Amino acid sequence: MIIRNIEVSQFRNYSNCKTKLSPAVNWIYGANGQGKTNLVEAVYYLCNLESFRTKKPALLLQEKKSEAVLKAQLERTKVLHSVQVNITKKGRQVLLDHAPSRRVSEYILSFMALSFTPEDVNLFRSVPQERRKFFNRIIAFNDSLYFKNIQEYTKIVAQKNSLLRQGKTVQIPLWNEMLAGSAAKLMKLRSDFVAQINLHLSGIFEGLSGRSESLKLFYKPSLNIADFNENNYLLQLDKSLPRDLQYGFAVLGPHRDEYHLLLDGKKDKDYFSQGEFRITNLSLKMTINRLLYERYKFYPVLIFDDLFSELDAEVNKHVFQFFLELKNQIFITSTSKPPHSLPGKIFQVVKGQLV
Amino acid sequence: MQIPVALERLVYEFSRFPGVGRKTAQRLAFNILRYTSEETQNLADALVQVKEQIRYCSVCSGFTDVDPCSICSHTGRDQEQVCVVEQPNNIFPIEKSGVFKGVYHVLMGAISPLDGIGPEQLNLHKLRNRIANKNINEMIIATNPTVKGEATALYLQHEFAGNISKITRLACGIPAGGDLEYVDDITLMEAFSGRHTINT
Ligand SMILES: [Zn+2]
Repeated sequence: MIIRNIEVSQFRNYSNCKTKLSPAVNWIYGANGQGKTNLVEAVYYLCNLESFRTKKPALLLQEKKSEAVLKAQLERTKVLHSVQVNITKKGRQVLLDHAPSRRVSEYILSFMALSFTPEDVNLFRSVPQERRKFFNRIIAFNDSLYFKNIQEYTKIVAQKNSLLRQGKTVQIPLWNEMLAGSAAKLMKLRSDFVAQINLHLSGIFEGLSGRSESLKLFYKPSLNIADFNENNYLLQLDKSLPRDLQYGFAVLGPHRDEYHLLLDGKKDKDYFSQGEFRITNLSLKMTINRLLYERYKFYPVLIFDDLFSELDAEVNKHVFQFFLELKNQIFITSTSKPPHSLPGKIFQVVKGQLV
Repeated sequence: MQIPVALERLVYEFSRFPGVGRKTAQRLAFNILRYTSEETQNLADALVQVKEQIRYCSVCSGFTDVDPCSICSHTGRDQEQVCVVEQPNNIFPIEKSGVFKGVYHVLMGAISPLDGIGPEQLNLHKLRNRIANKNINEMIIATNPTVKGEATALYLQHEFAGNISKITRLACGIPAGGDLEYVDDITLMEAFSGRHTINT
């Protein structure tokens, strides 16, 4: 997908900013605090309908304004769509081709940006639900059934939890059976996706870092995987009833699944340095990017916020080389002009304006 | 200017309908102000009559103005085939499609612990009696393809597996998460012909 042009109004420190964009690299530079990240945040919001920095819409509004408006023309599979998002304190309204888009799920399954920001270094250090949320989004994009399965599964868990809170154990086996069937589907899709990632992850890691260790994404389901056998899941779920009751919620199932990164078998949280968290995360995102275009001929918008100041010089060289081979539309923020020539456009940001 | 009391009362009554906001309620109320006296009387009569005449059938719990309903008392219908639905209004689209020649049973809901609805809140007592006293050889489960509907189907399957030789579930065609009420005839026909046995 390509964003042809963008208009950002009353968003963060932007009063109004309107510009055409390059389908290749858009290099956005300026001193700190001028609004480089705010601009790519707007780009990200237009693609993913959320911010990579905050969950509070109020923080996205310009001071003393009640509404921020983002407009863009997005091209997907050679079709040009006009998109407008109105953000208020209470939430957002999406207009796709001038009509209110009720099905946000369909929208976010059509457009996508992959971001790489300083905060991303924490993905494998933060709470497990952040990782589940991240992978859910990507797997749903690969498989629209997965999205429905997740919604269905979430409802089943809510029903089971409600019984646990009410202490009505008689009905639990029925909901465990529902849960087992739904879990089997989710776990199969997650496991298949991780296997796909691992086909390329080590190679891409080597290309970006120049290091030859094996990098693996490890899927650790809450239920013992047992060949995705529903009956086996049902046994495990029924056995966990005393613990379910003790905690007051369903303790087993895909809503408790984990993902880890392993570098030569060493687990992220226990062994990775700050730099390793960063470069492995970038490798993972670039692997996802490759999967998306190999399997779906889809090129997500790529956003790199302040990437080059965070990596060391040797890695920077590798990364630059890697970038030149990408066919995606790319947004890069930096405090300086590009050190090498790149295909695309260069923007300078000063106080919320492009100069 | 303030809205006159009588008008406000009508707006309030309309705004209690599901999915009707205050604006729509006002539009409906203003529309009625344009009615002739006769039209208004017809509307009022219709409201009173529907309440006076429409009841739940004592056999299947569908909506009816005679008891038992015209489906339950129809000699041409296959009394050995029971189609189980969640709500009385689920019967109408199936009848309209004309694909089903058996009889119905309305559960008056679906299992949903979050809403405080368990099997004991459903209209299952009458269903058990019907199965015990009549020769029923197939139960077609036509609950909605939602999580609640699927859980209810699973419950029925376990509950009646030993009593009925054939239990089937409406198959493909119905969009997942959808509601029988909004499914078109062709989709319903496909769903009936493609139903699959679940008590094997
Ligand atoms: Zn009847």
